[in-house]
Formats: sequence, structure tokens, C-alpha cells
Amino acid sequence: MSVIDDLVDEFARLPGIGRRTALRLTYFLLRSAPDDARRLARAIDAVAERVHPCSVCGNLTEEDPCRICASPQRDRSVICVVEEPSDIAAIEASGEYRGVYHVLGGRLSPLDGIGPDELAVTPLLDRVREGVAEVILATNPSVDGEATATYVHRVLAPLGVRVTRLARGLPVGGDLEYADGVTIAQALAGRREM
Amino acid sequence: MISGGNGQGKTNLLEAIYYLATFRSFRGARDEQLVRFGADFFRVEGQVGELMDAAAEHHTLSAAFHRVSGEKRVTVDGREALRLSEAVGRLPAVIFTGTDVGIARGAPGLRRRFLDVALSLARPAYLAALQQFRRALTQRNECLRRGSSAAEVEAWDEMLVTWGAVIVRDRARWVRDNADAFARHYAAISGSGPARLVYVSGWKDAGPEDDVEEWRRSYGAALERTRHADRLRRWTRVGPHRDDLAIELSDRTGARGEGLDLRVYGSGGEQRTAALALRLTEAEWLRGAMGCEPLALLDDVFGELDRQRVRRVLELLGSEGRGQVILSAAQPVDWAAEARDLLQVTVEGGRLRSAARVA
Repeated sequence: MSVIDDLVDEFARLPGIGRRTALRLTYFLLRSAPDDARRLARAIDAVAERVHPCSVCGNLTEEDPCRICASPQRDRSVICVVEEPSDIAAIEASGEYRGVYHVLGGRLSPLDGIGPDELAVTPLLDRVREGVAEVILATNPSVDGEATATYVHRVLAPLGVRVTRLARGLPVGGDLEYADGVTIAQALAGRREM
Repeated sequence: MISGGNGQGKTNLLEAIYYLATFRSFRGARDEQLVRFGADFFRVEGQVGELMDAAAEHHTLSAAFHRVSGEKRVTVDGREALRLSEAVGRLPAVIFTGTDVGIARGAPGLRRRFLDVALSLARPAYLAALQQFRRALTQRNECLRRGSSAAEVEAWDEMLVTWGAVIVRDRARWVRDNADAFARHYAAISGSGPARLVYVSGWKDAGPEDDVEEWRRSYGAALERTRHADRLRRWTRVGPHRDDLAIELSDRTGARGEGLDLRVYGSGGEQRTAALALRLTEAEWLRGAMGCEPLALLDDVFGELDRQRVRRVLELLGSEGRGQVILSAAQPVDWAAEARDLLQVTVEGGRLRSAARVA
């Protein structure tokens, strides 16, 4: 095994990157200036060294608690529950949400051996017990994501907190013609009076 | 008409064509079993268009499966389909096989599969609901198998009920809407007494088939009732995955006046007739639902069916539409070819050899 092979193997472990792309990336780095490669290495090293989960919400952060949890402008009485830290970035990009977050770290999937104990459910209950007005369940609208929302809703019920679920339906600005069957079926099921 | 000796590749060719309809083997074989020995992958490509209308829209469908990576890639006009439901049904097709009698004679799973394939071809939303339901069911059963808490098991119930209700609503409606067509085809082929289709749900006897809310409510209640038994037996005992499409001989009745089950009381001939009638009903329904002629594939039905039945099928396919028919047979069957203007092809060692038009 040469160091070149090592790097190809490392690239190939990344999501969406096959063997061929891993080779292309490796040879691209070998052709470019040594400083370019070192800068990439430093950036990866810094991320591994300094980024960790927020001790309050589980968001990925360099500070602890994270910037959202520490901000005086955020409404701590509303918690938005998401599967992954990357979901926070998507919701933040909307600029519409002023509450705080809670990252579950995945979704229920018994087939993959992921039950409630593998997710950050207990820390969520602890946070809600400290006094929260509303919990918004923003897990993915997949079968597993919906089941996770149902489960979290059920364990929150005894605490008497208001629990809401993100609406699902047709993508705004999209063409009805190009929406897939599941989306249309769900949008029909969730239709409203006018 | 494709003819050739045993093991020369007749069924193989029809399987490849039908693969572009459902993206699965009609024999129920797994994708890796469809790859030629010694090869890493297979790829099928087809042009789909209206036979009688050259100006109509044409589509190119392709499917490729790589055995090592287990990756399946389906494209429509060169663009990769992100979901299978985008591509299923682009080629409306119905296949008649020598083993179809199993649908009438065999286990309920074969009849559910018949309904699932027919509905999926014409309704992408049905296929999507089926996939969602299967995911929820597998997860729920895994919870039961592991003996997980009630809250973990019941977390899957809402998805099971949501998609299960769509599935049974669509199936029950299909049976209601196609019962007459089935009875007509059955009578036309057999010339004997009538038979009828009944959708049998394990939890709801009758009622409005169209009301998805009612199905949802009754399925939820049924899951509630079997909750305890599910935990004991460690799997989900009630749902669309346990339903049946019953075929009743309605001219003969049992002690309580009910129609007699064809599986139990039907003769071999009646069962073969029922299977053929189901396929003809499927073809007719696809024609109506998709607004075009389905491609009819007849795989070696001549060994199983007598001359009169095959003739009747070809007449029905020929009289009701102008769709394309591809048949396979061990020997060129002259009298079958007479029924239609057929191109004769022989297949030997996996290669198509000659072509001659029989006037």
C-alpha cells in the first residue's frame, strides 16, 4: 500500500464518492501546488480538532454551547427537533425560525438496530421538563422519520407540552406535473378547506 | 411469434421485455439471477411508442443492474429516474405465462401480487404507497421480533394505517370496477357458469370502497384489536399483506348461500380459465386506465392451454384493440399465427435467427 492508495481509500469512504472519483481527486491534488494540498489537510484537521456537538442541543459547533443556544435573541421556549445537524442549516437558511433546536442524531430504524436509546431522546425530555412551551417535530417526511416523530410525540405527551409537526405537501414553486406519487398522495391526505 | 427449442432463450427474451414494464422479473427471480453467467451486469433498453401512430410520443427506457455493487439504474429518455415509480408503467404490458394458473389455484400472495403489479403499472401513487407500507411493516415486525416496548412498536402504526388504507382502498375499488369485465371474459372463454371477484380484507367486511378515511379508521381499530396477539406471535397479523382476492363460482352455492371458492371447488379447467380471464381483465383495465394499448406477452401458454382457449385469447386481444402481441412457443404454432398477422422469429442459443411474415 502506497500513500497514494491510502488517500484514494480515504476519499472513497466519503458519501457519493466512488473509486473512480477518489482517484481523480487524488491525482488532482498531486498535480496542484503542494500548498493547496496542505491547506486542505489543515482545514480537515481543524474541523476534526475544534468541531464537536453542542452540549445543549447537539448541533455541531466550535463553541459550547453553540451560537444558537447562547444567543439572547433566540426564544428558548420553542424547541425544533431535527434528525441531523445538517437539518439545522436548512431551517436556519429560511430565516423564519427564532427558537432553539434539538438534534436526535438519526431516526428510528429497528432494521439498522437504531432504537430510542441510540437517539438523544432522554436529553430532550430533560430539556422539556425545564419548561418549554412548544416542541416542533421536524424529522424527515420519510416512513422512518414519521415513526420517529410519532414516538417522540408519545413520550412527550405526559409532560403536557404543546407538540406540533412540520406540514408536508407540494414543494412551493414546483410544478404539480413533476411531483412524485408519495408527495401528491400526502398533499391530498393533508388537503384543507378553502 | 418467437419459436425455438427448450433452453434457447424464449422466456429470457420475454422476461427482458417485461422487465421494462415493472423493472422486476415476472418469474419472481432476483436481479442478480438475471445476469448472464460470467457477466458482471445486464442492461435492457427499449423504445416505447404507439404502434399505430408513428407521430405519437416515443420514449426510451433502460434498466441496468450491476451484480457486484447491487446497483440498479433506470433511465427514462436518458435521464435517471430517482424513484422507481417515475419509470414503472411507461411501458404498459401484460404477460400471460404457462404458470398463471397458480394465480387462481395458489396462495393468496400470488393474487395480491397480481393486484399490486396491475395497479402499480397504471398508478405511480399506488406503487409509492406500497413501498412506504412495506417499509413501515418491516420495521414494525422487526420491533415485534426484538420484543421492543409498546411505544416503539406503535410508533409505526400511523404509517402502516396511512399507507395501508390507500392500498386496500385502491385494491377494493379495482375489484369493484373490474368485476364485470372479469365475469364477461370468464364466460367468453369457458362458455360455462359465471364466476366473480371479491376483495377479502381481514378486518373489514363491506362498505364504501372509496372512503379512505373509513379504511384508515377500521385498519387502526383492527391493529388495536390484534395488538396483544401481535406481541405474542412477534409479527403483524392484520393488514393488506394478509388480504386476498377471492374468485367465487357464483352459480353454485354452499350451505349458507355463499359462492363457492374456485381454489377449492373449481376444476383444473375452471382455474385455468379464471387465470386467463384475470390477465384479460388486466389488459382491458390498463387500456382504459392508461389510454393506450398494452403490449401483450404470451410466454409458452400453448403447453398449458388447449387450442380453443388460446384461440379465444388471441381473438379477444385482437378484437378489442390493435395492441402488439409477442408470443413464444416451442414449435411454430401455425393455427395461432393464423389468428393474426404475425412476424415469425426463431431463437437459438440466445440469438434471434430468422424472420418471415406469415400472411
